[in-house]
Order: sequence, then C-alpha cells, then structure tokens
Amino acid sequence: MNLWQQWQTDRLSHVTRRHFLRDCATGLGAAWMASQGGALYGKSNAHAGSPADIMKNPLGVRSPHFAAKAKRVIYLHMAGAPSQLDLFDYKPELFRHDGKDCPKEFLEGQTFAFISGIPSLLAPRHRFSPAGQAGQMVSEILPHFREVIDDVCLVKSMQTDQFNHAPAQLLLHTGNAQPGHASFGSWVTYGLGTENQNLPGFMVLVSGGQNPSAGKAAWSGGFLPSVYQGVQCRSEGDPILYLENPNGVRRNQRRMMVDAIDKINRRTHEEVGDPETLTRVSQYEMAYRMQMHASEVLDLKREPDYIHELYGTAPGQESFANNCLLARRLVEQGVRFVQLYDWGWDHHGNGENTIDKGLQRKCGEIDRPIAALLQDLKQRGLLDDTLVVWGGEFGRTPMRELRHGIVSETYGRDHHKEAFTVWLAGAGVKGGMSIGETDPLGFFVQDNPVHVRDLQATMMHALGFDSQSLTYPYQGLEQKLTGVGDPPRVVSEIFA
Amino acid sequence: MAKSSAPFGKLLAVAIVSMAVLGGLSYQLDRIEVLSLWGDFFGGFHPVVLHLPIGIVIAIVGQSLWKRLRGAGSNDDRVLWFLAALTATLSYGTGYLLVMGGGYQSEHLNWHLWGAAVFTSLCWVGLAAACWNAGRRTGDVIAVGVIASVSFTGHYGGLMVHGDPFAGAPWLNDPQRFATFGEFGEDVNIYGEIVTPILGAKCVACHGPAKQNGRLRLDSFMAIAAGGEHGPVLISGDVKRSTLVSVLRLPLNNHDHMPPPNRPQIADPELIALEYWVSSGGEEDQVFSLSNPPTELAALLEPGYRLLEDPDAVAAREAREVEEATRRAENRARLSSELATLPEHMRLGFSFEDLESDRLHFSPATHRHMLTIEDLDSLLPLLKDSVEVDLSGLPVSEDLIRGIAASRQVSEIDFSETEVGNEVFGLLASMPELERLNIFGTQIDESAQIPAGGFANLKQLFVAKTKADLDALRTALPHVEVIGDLALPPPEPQEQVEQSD
Repeated sequence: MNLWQQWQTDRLSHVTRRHFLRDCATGLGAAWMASQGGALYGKSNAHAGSPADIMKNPLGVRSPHFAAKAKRVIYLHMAGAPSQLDLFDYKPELFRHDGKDCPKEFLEGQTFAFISGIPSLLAPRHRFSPAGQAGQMVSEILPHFREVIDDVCLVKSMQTDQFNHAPAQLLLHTGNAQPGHASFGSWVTYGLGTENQNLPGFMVLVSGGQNPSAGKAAWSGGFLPSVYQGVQCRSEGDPILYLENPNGVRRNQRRMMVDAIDKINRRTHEEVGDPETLTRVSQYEMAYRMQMHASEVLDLKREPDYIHELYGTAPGQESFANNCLLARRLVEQGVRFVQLYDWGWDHHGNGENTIDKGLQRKCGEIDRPIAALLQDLKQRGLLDDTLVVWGGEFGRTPMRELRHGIVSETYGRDHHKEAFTVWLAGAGVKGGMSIGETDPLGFFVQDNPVHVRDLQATMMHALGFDSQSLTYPYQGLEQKLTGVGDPPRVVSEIFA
Repeated sequence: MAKSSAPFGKLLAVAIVSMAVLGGLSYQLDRIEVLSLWGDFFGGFHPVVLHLPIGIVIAIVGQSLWKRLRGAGSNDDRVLWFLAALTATLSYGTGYLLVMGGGYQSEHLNWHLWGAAVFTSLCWVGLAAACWNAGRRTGDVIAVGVIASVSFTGHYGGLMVHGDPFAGAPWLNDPQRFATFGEFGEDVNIYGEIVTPILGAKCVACHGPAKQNGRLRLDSFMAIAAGGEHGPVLISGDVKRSTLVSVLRLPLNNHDHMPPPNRPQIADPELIALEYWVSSGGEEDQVFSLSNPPTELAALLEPGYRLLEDPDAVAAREAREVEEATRRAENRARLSSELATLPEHMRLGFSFEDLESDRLHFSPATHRHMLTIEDLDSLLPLLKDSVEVDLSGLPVSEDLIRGIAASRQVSEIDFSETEVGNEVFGLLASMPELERLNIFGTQIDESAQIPAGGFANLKQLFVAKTKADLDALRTALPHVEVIGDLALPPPEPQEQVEQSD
C-alpha cells in the first residue's frame, strides 16, 4: 500500500454514519425537513400554520377553521362495549322471537368473536319505559340518566369495522385499527392548542380496575409530535405524582435547573433539528407550571358537599364518579379533551359478566355520575361549549352468546360491529331525540348509518374543524383523523 | 427584378412538393383511428412544441418590420426560418400522432389540419426564399401567408381544446341564458325538460360542443350514455356508481368534485332530481304527469325556479362579501395590533373565533389567578370589542360592568363566582346583543329586579347557587331559559338495586 492509498483508506474510515447523519447536506435535519415537506410548501395551509410554525409554540391557543360551539370535549368510553339492546335500542320484536334460532340470512358472511353454530335470539333483559319529555325508550337500570335524557341525542345507527376490543377502540379513538396513529384528543390539541398553559390539553382518566384493551395506544400522539399525547392521571391517591419539589429544593432552584436543561435541549435541537427535542422542552416547562397549579385543580376535596352528594364521589378512591367530577374540574379550567375509560362492560355471560347482574352493576356505577355531570355542566353554563360523548367501541349481538356452540347458564351477548348506540350532549347538540334506526331485530342498521369515521368527523365539525383539512404530513400522506380514504359524512342533523 | 425570377420557380416547386406531402398526409385523417402507445406518448408533446414556430415566425416578421422602419439593411433570417420550418414540422408530426388517437371533433380538426399543412409548407418556402435571396416582395407575400395561416390554424386548435373564446364574451352574455326551466306541459319528460336544462346550465360549458373535458359530452343522451375517457358515467338505477351524480355529492375540496369549485354549483333540489332520474332508470324517455309529480322533483316544478342566479344579484352579493371580508380583515388587524401591545398574562386570554373572524373571545384560562382589578379595567376597550367575555372568578369593578354594558358587541357574559350583586340586572338590561348571562354562584338574591322591557335579546340566564327568586325571574323574562339549581333525587338504597335482578 502506498502513501496515497493509505491516505484514502484513513480518510474513508473516518467518515462514519454519524458524520453522514449530522453534517452532510442530506443529514437528519434535512431528513426532517423532507418529512415536513408538504407542510413547508404550504399544503396544510387550511390550518392555522404549518406544523413547523406550530412547533414553535405547540400548545398555544389556535383558532379553528370556522366558528364552533364546542370548545372542549369529555368522552366517556365504556370499555368492553355495553349492550345497546338492553339500554337504549329497544326492540320489542325480540320478545316474540326470544329463544328462537337467529335467521340464517342474518348470519351469512358475519364473523363473531366467540359465537359459533346457530345462536338463538335474546330478548331485552331489562325493562324499558318512556323517559323525558320526548318519551324515548330507555332502560330502567339507568334511573338517573333518564332524568337528563332530554339533554342528549342518541345515535342508534353506529357502525364499525372491528369486532375485537383493542382494534375497535383504536379505530374509534385514533381512526385506524392498527397502533401508531394519533388519537382524537391529540388531534384536537394539535388543532386548537390548550386554553390553560398550566395543564396538559389532553388528559386521560381510567376507572374499572384496568386500562382499556387498546392500552396506552388509545391516547397516543401517534405520528403527531409527542407533546400532543394524552396525559394519564393515576386513579387512586394523588392523580399526578411528584408535583411537590423534593425537600430542600426551592422553586427558584427548580427554575434554574429547568432553564439549564432547556438550554441544552435547544442547542441539541439546533444541531439535529428533531422536533421531539422541542417536545421535551415544552414538557419540562409544562411540568414546572403544573407544580404551581395542577394540585389545586386535581384536588376533589375542594368541592362542596352538595357536589359530592350529586356525583356520589368519595375522594381518594378509584371510581368513575371521581373521574366525572375531575373531568368537570378540568374542562372548567380549560383542558381541551378529557377522555374517560371505564373498564368492565364486556358482558358475555361468563362468570360475573352477565347482561343481568353484570350490566346492572356497571350501570349502577355510572348512572348517577353521568347524570350529575350533565346537570352540573348545565347549571354552570358549561354544557353549551362542552361536547359530551358516551359509548362503547362496538355493540352487542341480538343473539345470546353461544361460545364454542355451548349455551351457558347465564345470559350474555357477543361483540357486534353492525350496530350500536352512542349518545352526544352539549355544544349545540339537539337534545331529546335519536338519530338512525336498526332493523326490528336490532341486527343491522336500517336507516341513516353512522360509521365511527362519521362520528369523528361530526365531533370535529362541532369543534370547528373540517376533518378533511386538519392534516399532518407523515409517510408522504396528508394524514387525517378520519383516514385518507373516502371522506366521512358530518351528521349535521344532530345539531340544533 | 430579374434576380428574383429565378428563385420564384424554385420556391413554387418547394411549395408544391411540401404541400403534396403534407396534404396527402392530412387527407381524411379524421377518419383514421389507430391506437398506439408510442403515438399517444409523442402526441402528448404537441401542446409543448406547437408554440415554438408561432413565436419564431412572429420574431421573423417583427424583426424585418423593425429593420424596415429603421431603414437598416437587409437581414439574414436563414437560421430563424430553418428553426421555424423544423419546429412547424415537429408540431405537425406530434399533432398528427395525437389525431390518430382519435376523439376530436372532425369539423374543427380538418380546418386545423389543413391550416397546419399550409403553415408548415409556407415555413419551408420561407426558408428557401431566405436561402436563395428572393426579393423583398416575395418575402412580404410569404410573411403575410405565414401569419394568416398560423392565425387560422391556431384559432381552430384553440376551439378544439379551450372552446370558443367568444362564447363567454361579455357583450354576448345573456343573463337569462340557461337561467330557468321552460314551461312544463302535462306530461313531463324527465330527461328532456328537467335533466337537460340542469346539465345545460352547469355542465355543458366544459362537457359539450365547445369543450370535451375528459372526452365527455353531456349535451345529448347518446353522449351521456357513451361516457368519457374514464368509462361510463350513467349506470341505470345505481346512484353510487353513476359518476354523473356521484361526483356532485363529493365535498367541495375533493379533487373529483364537480362542478369545479369556482363554477356555479348544483343546488340540492337539482341534485335530488338528478339522483331521482338515475335511480328510477336514467332513461331518455321517462315521463311523469304534472298532476302527480314525484316529491323529489317538486322543488324544481315551482314556478320561477332559477337554475342560475341573476348575474346582477350575484355580482352585488360578491361585492358585499368582498367588502365585508375587507372590513373584517382590517378590524382583525387592528385588534391584533392592540393585543400585541399587552403584557402576556393579559393578552393570552383573548382569541379569535376562527381563522378569519374579527370576533374576539376573552377567557383567561391560564392567568385567571394573576389578573387584578386594574388589569381588567385597562382591558375595557378590548372587552367591549369582544363577543364573549368570561370574567368568572375575577375581581370585577362596577365601572367595568358599566363599560361592558355600553358595548354593542358583547353577546355572552360570564360573571359566575364573582362579587357582582343585584345591581347587575339594572346595569346590563339595555345591552342590545346580550344572549347569555351567567351569574352562577354570585350574591344575587330574591330582591333582584329585572327592569321592565330589559334584556330584549337574552336567551339563557344562569342563576344556580344564588338566592335569586327563579319564579319571579321567569315571570319577568318569559322568553328566557332560566337555569337554576339542578339536582338529582337522592340515590335509591343499594340493596334494592341488588335485589331487582
């Protein structure tokens, strides 16, 4: 090897992958620029600014596309999927056919999670009676909810694509059955920012003893900058840990520490241009501000007795009631999106999970808190700009569950994607009515089908967004909550 | 001019030979249809190359005119003439390939072809004349011929691709054209008397005799049935698969939505009528009786239904919209610049209702605990310019209430959990735009009086957690939804719930 060859070999061995990524014209920064391409060239200009602009102040307040009624959302998700046929979608025809085989033409081409063989039809297991001024048929196991039925709009013609819990929850909350997409709350905080800079814009409260089947992916920020992901509160004890400074650390010392970390992070961002570094900066800032304010907001003991009586709350324990009250306190303080998950609605008829006792017990847990939440929001004047949504990830079959072809001793229903019921209230939603209809057996939607994508688009509309125009460039597509396929339908008839 | 006589014969020879070649090629070309991928590919370059010879001959003629005016000597145009002849031939060739793909209307096409043949031939003659130094007069004749033939050719080419420019000329624009339906007889042919006028008013301009975008014509039933380059547009009985109507339903921002966003759109009753026609068969000879019309068509049968708005009314409306948008933008800019001068804890409470609106909302979620009575007093001018004012839990002075009461903008006030008392009704009663007033959890009590005739526009009044007399308020404000304490009946004993299974 001569000198020239030696020089060349040395030179090449010094050029590492790191060099390429950091210093070359096609380095990471440029790679990021490329990933932002659509936005930088103004394709997303239907929104307030390009993603690059937004990242300068990711949680700053931004205006929606058009003037909107809803400024905030409380989403009450009953994980496991409650039975619409025993709560809202009253099908008296099922009494006539109770115990008879389900007609074959219904079963053709259908796939169920557990049912095999020919299942028999199952009549409603709870009594229905007319409720409210409009006289809508509602199950009697929701006695308190019946009091507020004139404030809600039932959508009885919901449809989804998925019949297993996790993918169906992901489809409903992130617009895609696979993990990795941005959740509804993340999209809303990306679009509107957060009103209260001292609190996260998207908070998640869980009850029922377990996370929903989709896990934390249901409130992930997906491809959106992670500053928009949901912040989960603990269900028992302090909702957020470590809000206090350690002993001997004063607030100004904490400030100096945060400043120093920010400085390092900003320098790193200048070098490599990764937007996730900016996320880190704003998270430190948020944590610092939350120290001052969050403990006060999250402290249910500050509520007067009449409120605890109304909701049926007991501070410190994990309960859906506590989460409902917390949700009201959070929206009152300007949190954009409060997502509640209540686990335990999967009433297959195995063990305790029956349509009879199991469903009634769960309804007993949510009935009063939900009615209280709607009443409380209303008397405070908050219901007019807060959209409240209740529902599961799919429905349940009009047939009795027939697991492995064996009839169990208790009553249950299987997962059903063809029809289910959700309800919406507040923010300009017309109360005391229902949308859509299922067939006499409650199997298929007969009139005015509303796919989960249509529900998403409708909620986006209530918040002032055209769901087709709120986009984020990722993997060469202008990503949308409602997916990049056919445009969804805004169910405008639910608005007054 | 003996010098020019020798080239003249030769020039004539060039003209005859080139015309024989080009004319032979052009003869009855519109009857030939050969599908060839390479032909389509090269044919696609026709719109690119065809503009080159036009520019070059204009340059030649312009340059010689200029030199003649300045009295300069003769010029050497051989290179330019060569380029003109070459690009003209290229244009002819690419155009020829394009025509072979078929799909063009033969009348315009033939004129275009023959014009192009003459033009190309003249370009070669021009080159020959320049090379052989034919005299000035010969040059002039060729120049006139070239300009005339290129104008003629271009005109017919443009007609085929862009439609007749004079069709939309302002002096021809009859405001009544396509604007209404004709008189209906007793038996109404749906296609002839309903569908045709709608398509005529809103589709045929681009899918008709003048232009055939997407190689689709909608000006006759045969043409509709034939479809366009993306296949059939009308599938009898199937609204979803019939592109003729399905593209009308797409959202305006969808790429495939028709008509294009800046053109008059299909109104809902028209869309329903078209869908009714397609779903009930989509036939040319469907008839209904005017004495018993289908409900889907009822709106269109009302006398005086306009397919297109009166152009004058449209112009006036658009002018008003522009004026309003300008006013809004100016006001928004003014408010934004005022906001920019505020310290952060005061500024962040304000936000605009949407991306373009000048309607301000005030709701200081982040800095509510920091705002002092002086801060709020200094914000009065901006609060008066706002639409929604949320002062919940803030220290509110009587001056501030008086100031806000003088606003002609504010439609929503939130005084919940503030120190305001009974005086608030008297102060706010005359606000013209006030629709929602929230005094939840305040000192208001049963002696609070509503001034007679006050709160003309109020719709909702929130008085929960006060001592206010709800019945008195409801009597004084019969049109207002008065929302007092809301509670639920006490929960039933737990055992009962368990037993009822």
